[in-house]
Amino acid sequence: MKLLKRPGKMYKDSEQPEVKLISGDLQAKIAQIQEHLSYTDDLKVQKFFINDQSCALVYLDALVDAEIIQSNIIKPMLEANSDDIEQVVTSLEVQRSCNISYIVSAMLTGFCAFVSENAEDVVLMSAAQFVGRSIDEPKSEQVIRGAREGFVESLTTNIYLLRKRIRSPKLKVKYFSLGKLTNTKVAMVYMDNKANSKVIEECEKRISAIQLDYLYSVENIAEMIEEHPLTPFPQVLKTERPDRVVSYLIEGKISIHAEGVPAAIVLPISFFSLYQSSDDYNSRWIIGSFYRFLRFFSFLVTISLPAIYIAIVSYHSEVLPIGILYSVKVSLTYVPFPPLMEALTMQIILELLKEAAIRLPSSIAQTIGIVGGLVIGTAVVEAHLVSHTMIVVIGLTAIASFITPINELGVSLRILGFPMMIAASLFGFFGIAIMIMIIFIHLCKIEMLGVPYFTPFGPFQGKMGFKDIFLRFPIWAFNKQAQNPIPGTPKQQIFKRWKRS
Amino acid sequence: MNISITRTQLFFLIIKTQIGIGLLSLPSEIQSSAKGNAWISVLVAGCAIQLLLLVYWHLYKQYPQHTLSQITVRVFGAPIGKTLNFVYFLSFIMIAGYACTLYVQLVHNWMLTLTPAWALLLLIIGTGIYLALENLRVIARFFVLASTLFVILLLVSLLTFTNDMHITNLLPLSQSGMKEILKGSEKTFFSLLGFEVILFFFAQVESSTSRGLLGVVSLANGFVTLFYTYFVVICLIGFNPPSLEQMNEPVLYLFKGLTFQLFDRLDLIFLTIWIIPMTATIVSYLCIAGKSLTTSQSSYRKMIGVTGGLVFLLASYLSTREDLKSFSKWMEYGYLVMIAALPILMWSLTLLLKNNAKRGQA
Repeated sequence: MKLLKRPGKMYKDSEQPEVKLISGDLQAKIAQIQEHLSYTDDLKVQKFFINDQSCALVYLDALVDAEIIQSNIIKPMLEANSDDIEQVVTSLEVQRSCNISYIVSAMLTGFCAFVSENAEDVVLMSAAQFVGRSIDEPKSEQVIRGAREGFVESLTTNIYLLRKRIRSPKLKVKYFSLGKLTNTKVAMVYMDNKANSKVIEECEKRISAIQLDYLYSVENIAEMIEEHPLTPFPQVLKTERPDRVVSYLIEGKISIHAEGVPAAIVLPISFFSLYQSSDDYNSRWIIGSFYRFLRFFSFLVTISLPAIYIAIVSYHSEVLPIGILYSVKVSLTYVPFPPLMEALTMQIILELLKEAAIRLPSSIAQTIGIVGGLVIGTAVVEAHLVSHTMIVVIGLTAIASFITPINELGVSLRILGFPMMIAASLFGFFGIAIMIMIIFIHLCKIEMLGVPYFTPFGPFQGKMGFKDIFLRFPIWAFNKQAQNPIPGTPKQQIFKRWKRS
Repeated sequence: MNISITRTQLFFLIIKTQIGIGLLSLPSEIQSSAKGNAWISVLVAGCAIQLLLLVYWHLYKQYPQHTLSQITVRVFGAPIGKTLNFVYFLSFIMIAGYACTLYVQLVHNWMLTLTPAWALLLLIIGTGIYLALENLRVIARFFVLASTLFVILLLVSLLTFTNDMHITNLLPLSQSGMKEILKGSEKTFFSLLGFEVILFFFAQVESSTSRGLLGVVSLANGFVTLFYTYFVVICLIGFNPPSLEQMNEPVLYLFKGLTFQLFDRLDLIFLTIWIIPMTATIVSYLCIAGKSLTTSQSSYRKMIGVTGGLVFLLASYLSTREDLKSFSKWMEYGYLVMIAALPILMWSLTLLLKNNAKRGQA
């Protein structure tokens, strides 16, 4: 809270008081606007005479569309040659104001200002130009089958993508302006009849309390409103897929979008929704359930497999039957390091390789893959620095961590693997059990906007809650509409099998 | 402190507290007195606990929304009530410390022979405090989650049926008299401890119609009793009677004999999972020790820290002692007075007072 308050004070004195535009002289008026825009060079002033009085069109060159100004503003104005500019122009939005700071902020969003000698007010007309990337598939969340649309940098387009999918009057958008210097537009979207009003209220309160100079990404918002800053687990779901956001909106969650960021955050989410993927719903339910099960298994593997290996080879080798024990011990014979060192080094090498390859052009990244995977992998074993079994264990762990649909979570889990490994090397199985307990206690402690992170376990929400969590049950099993069908409509029989007619 | 839990959560809170370290050594302890009828002893102990639960429930009905520490003050007045609460606090610390000691000994014997006791205690009590600091709802959430482990444990226990089983060990039913069975029940009773937490948790169950509460509590007791009976029975039929008496932790030995292609020593895996219920028991005791002295959340957090420290000191002292027998005898009976005799006394007192009040009105 202290951190939040300090920047607020700093900006109090630099905040602009409400200044009225000077009346009278046109030159003075323009000069005043120029002064407020720091005499920037891209401020264009176009003077002309209408009805024998001098007036000027002032706008920021970069933000407006020259075509719109020409055809919708200047042309009708000169043709009509009338004072009543609001009636003449065919611009989409026209406003009047005499408050200089309001005028300037409007100009910064792409309005052009019409200043005239006689009038007190300035007429503001929207003429914003719109340049943006076209909608394409998000690279980080690809699906095998399903919608290929992803969010883009423009907020309006993103909201369009949502509205296109939910044509409901209950879909509500709330705008906020964040960032003292950048004034980034932020939208909070939710279904008015589905979302919990307490959660919405709390979320709004927290967003309004944010004090930042610069909104770097929506992740900043998440960081500012989350309750547990010290946890490694993501408490909001970050996604670039509109279909995913829509499915959460319908469940009654809130999504937050920001101008200039092609990602949205969804909150409050539960831990288990981090393990859902759009693909689960694009294929048959048995396939979906199978993969979901695999993902939960991979969660346990990622955090505990290297630790279990360390515990077994350093404390409990009796757990392995003699055949396996022999091959493990043989590969360990010439390795001079303790298992913890082996595991830590290999884990770090893996992270290095991943981080090195991730931002390189794909052709070079392939080379890194070969050098890293083949050369280092085999050479490290040949040189007896690391045992064969350890390579297998680390490889499996890495693959398991990549299975998580949210990449961020995979990284968090790999990081959690380190304390597990240390606990295993100090206390064996006992250390692993205690660490797993601590991790799960921690998960039970986290709450987001008053909603527990580990939702289906506490409060236990009955069987309904489980049908879309551990397994992906068929849609008719958890869809209420399908369970209480409207009378008169054709009904499916037992197990939703259609009766042949 | 008015954070409420649901009835389902209460169920898991109870079973998670009750099922703990006691089970592992239980079969051999009863075997020594009740022989092949040990399982009857467990059922008898379950019934005894059920009677005690009825008393608790009646007591709670007299003072709805009151925890034990508030009830004592109401019944005996502030000075005696507060002193009693302090005695309760000490006895909870005793039992938590004792449980920790047994826990550490178990880990010493089976997993980590050379690790110093203080390090293990630090981990156990540290984890316990980390959870106990939170409100009851978070604790319940974790207990519900951890209860899924019982399913795994039961599944693992099915594997023991691949051992040689001698169902005849259970027969004849008359191999021990009533006295021996009761003696066995007495031992079982102490390993079933943990149900007394409801004296504190009752007050925090939401929308508590008292009849529903009794149902939940009885169900939990029934589940725990059957769970114990099941393990006692598989031990009885898995070992021959004389060797069963010699073992310290027969339940673990039962798994030790199993061998599979992929792994040996199922006992270590069982014990690793069992660590979680054992720690959960300590969490519950820390929690009720904190609740027995204070009612506000902020002072409760401080109390938990203090309690944890005391439990640590006690357990590290106890784990240096060679023989725990005398201490455990003394402590068990003392504790019995606290959780059985005192509540019964309070209950009868309230009944008397009520009758007097009625007569006074008339």
